[in-house]
Amino acid sequence: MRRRLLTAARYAGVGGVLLFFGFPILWMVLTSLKERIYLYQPGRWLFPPTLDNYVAALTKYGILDYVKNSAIVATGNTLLSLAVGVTAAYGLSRFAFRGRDAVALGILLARLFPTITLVIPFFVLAFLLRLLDTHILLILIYLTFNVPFVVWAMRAYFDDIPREIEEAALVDGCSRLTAFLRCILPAARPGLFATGVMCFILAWNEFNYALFLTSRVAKTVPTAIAFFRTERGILWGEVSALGVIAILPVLVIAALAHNVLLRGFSLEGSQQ
Amino acid sequence: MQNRLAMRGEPLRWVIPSALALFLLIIIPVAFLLYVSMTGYELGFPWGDRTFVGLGNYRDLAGGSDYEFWISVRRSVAYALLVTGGSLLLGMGVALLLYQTIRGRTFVTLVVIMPLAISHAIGGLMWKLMYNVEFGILNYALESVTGLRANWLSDATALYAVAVVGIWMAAPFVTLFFLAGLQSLPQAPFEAARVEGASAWQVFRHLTLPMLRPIILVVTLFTVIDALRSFGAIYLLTEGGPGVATLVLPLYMYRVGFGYSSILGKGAAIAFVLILLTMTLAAVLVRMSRRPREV
Repeated sequence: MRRRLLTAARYAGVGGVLLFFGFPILWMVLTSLKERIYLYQPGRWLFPPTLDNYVAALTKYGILDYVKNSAIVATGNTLLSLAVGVTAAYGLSRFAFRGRDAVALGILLARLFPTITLVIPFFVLAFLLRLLDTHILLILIYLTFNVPFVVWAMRAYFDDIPREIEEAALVDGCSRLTAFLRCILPAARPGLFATGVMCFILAWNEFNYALFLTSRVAKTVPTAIAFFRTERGILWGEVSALGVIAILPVLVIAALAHNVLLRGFSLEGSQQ
Repeated sequence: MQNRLAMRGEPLRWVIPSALALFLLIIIPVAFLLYVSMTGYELGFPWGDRTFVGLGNYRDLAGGSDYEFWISVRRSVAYALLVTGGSLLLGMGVALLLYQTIRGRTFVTLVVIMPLAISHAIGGLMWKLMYNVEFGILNYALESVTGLRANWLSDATALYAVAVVGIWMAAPFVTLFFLAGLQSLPQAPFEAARVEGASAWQVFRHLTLPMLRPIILVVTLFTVIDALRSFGAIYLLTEGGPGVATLVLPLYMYRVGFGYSSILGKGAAIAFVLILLTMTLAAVLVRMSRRPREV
């Protein structure tokens, strides 16, 4: 009896957990599929779904351009973050050197840094350099959080690659850099892919910098929400459709490669 | 083996690209921020027109001529405490649940971490839909039970409503942290306790909790630091309002620097206060997380 009660309590707990963390997502998806008249009937779970909100968001409000901007910025930043961060990850994985702890500490502090505060100096600097509202500005600035992530994540992957691989290459007379490029990087391809996916998500989701540093040309998906505040109030259906578009890449990754997410965010959490 | 492979000076060369990028993109901007915070620069004016005011902005903030500053400090502390307390309790609960539940564990974990994979602004939007007075699901549920509706984002409750969203975003991280902690605990003491017939609560109170103590301290500081810099979701939900109800420091910085007054210099001073606050807490965190390793 007691055991059965415990089991029931556990299932109730799991149900509550799924509800709290998952329902807000589900509710937004449902809202995005509702015609205006059904918006005001929150208790109605069965309604004829419509894609009107998506059509309106994509055509009338030009969200497609913002999707393109987000894709350009996230892809460009992901490739650059990997290129910049991967050698440090290798160095930290392979060498014991004085200052290694300091480097690791620097990465931790970069992870904890309140990035919202840098909006002001970046705004003035970009204004003076005439870089406001450009893709390249966001691609560069997003290095602030993605390079620390790459260093941390790839270090763990490099640790798993046996040293014999590059030792054999070194014996054959390769320089360490050649050994790294020819032997280690190909062996680390799954890790590079998983880390790249995480970088892409983090860059795709970024809001603070994009909000202040772009206005029209380089505007990204999350910051487009403000467009749906009209005199008639917020266009809830359309803005929900935009929200679903914004989380679509994550949903796709969760469906196809959930291990990337599970491992990626566990890594991000264990940064110390 | 490591020494045989390592050559003098070589290791640091590998770190140069990352170190350079972070130096250019964090250290230089922070130094520049410090400079901007000592000017009276206003948005929209030519950069050449700025005046140097020294510590004037800081004096204004601390001296109380700007009453909203201390309010926003209080809001930030309250928000950080609510989010940290809430997400630690919830995160511990969820971690224990996931640790025990075998069936569907991957799926449940995946749902739990979704808030981490979603832009804070979009998370704020989701909750704004639910908090909506007229057609939000929360008022629908409340009305069908009590017949009353609540204005969740009004003066009296906005900070709590915003903190719930903060918990939604922070608890997954806490959960992952605790779950890793639980999985790393040695099993022997728990088996001994079972043999001795200890209750689940006794085991948790006298074994699990003390053994997780170092992790709990680290997670607490992590969460506080993370909560202090929250911007996107609050911006979406309330923009710091109504009035000053949810005016935490980042939102106050936004209002002063980019909002109605647009005094970027003063906004920069607020930003720098936030950096000092965060880095102080981070220093404590680093000192604490090092101690167990040295023993």
